[in-house]
Amino acid sequence: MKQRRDIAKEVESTLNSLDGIQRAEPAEFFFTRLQARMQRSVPMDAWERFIMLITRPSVAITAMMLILAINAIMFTLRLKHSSERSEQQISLQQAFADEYHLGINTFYEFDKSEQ
Amino acid sequence: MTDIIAQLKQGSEAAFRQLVTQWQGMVYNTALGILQNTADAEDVAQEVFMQVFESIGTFKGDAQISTWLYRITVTKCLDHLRKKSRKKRWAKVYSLFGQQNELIIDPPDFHHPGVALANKERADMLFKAIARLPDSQKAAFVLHKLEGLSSKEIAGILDASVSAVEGLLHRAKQNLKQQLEDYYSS
Repeated sequence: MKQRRDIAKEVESTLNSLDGIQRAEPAEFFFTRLQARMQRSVPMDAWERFIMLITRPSVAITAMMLILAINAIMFTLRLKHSSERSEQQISLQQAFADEYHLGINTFYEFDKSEQ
Repeated sequence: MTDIIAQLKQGSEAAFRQLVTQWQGMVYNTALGILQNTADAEDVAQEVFMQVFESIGTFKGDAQISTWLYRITVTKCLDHLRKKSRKKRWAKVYSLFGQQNELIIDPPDFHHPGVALANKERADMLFKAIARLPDSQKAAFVLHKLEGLSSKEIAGILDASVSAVEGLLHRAKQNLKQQLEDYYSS
């Protein structure tokens, strides 16, 4: 029990240890160092800004999701369209074959048509 | 203060120097509390003033300049912490491929220069616990304890309601208590 009370007291004292803390100041000549850094840093051009924008994770992930979604939509549409088209094509080919008697089934029939 | 802002918008270097001299302590102290590393705090403080110089045109004056500066400082500090932890996570992967990277080592103990000598040991322990808090709790607690800001002022900085900030502070204290209890009972 006593130990528990001691722990609670220690915790309370530690939590209050920052009371009356003095503000920390940067080392001397902060402004001079800041000025030097500002002179060193060249402002970014449009190309660098663009690269920085597209390499941001949120932009890159969104772009990737968008590309994948467009791909999925295009693939579904193409699949649907191609099945419709193939049915139409088969019927057209059949009509063409019937019209010009191209429905040759055996070699003998081919011979007969030659005569 | 509105004079300084007006002069800064015109690109006055003297006004910028005055602004930096006036607020450097506040920015640095906040950064130091969150980052717990003097070099990183100096780096972020410089970045804060660079951003102020670049984006002073967008400052409309609807918030106090101190609130604006605190907001930039907190955002930059949390970004810096995230970048650092990301670098640490990838450092192991890079080392597998033999790539040389700068060594990312945190000093084992952080000593805040403003702590009284009698409280030094306890304060070091508390800072260790603060470093393990979630970002928003850490920012709110540091602003409250180190800068002595009220919940209302912190709400303005973090762009949250007063009750949300009070909740953050309460959870931060609970978390710290738990960590310290675990430490002292072990």
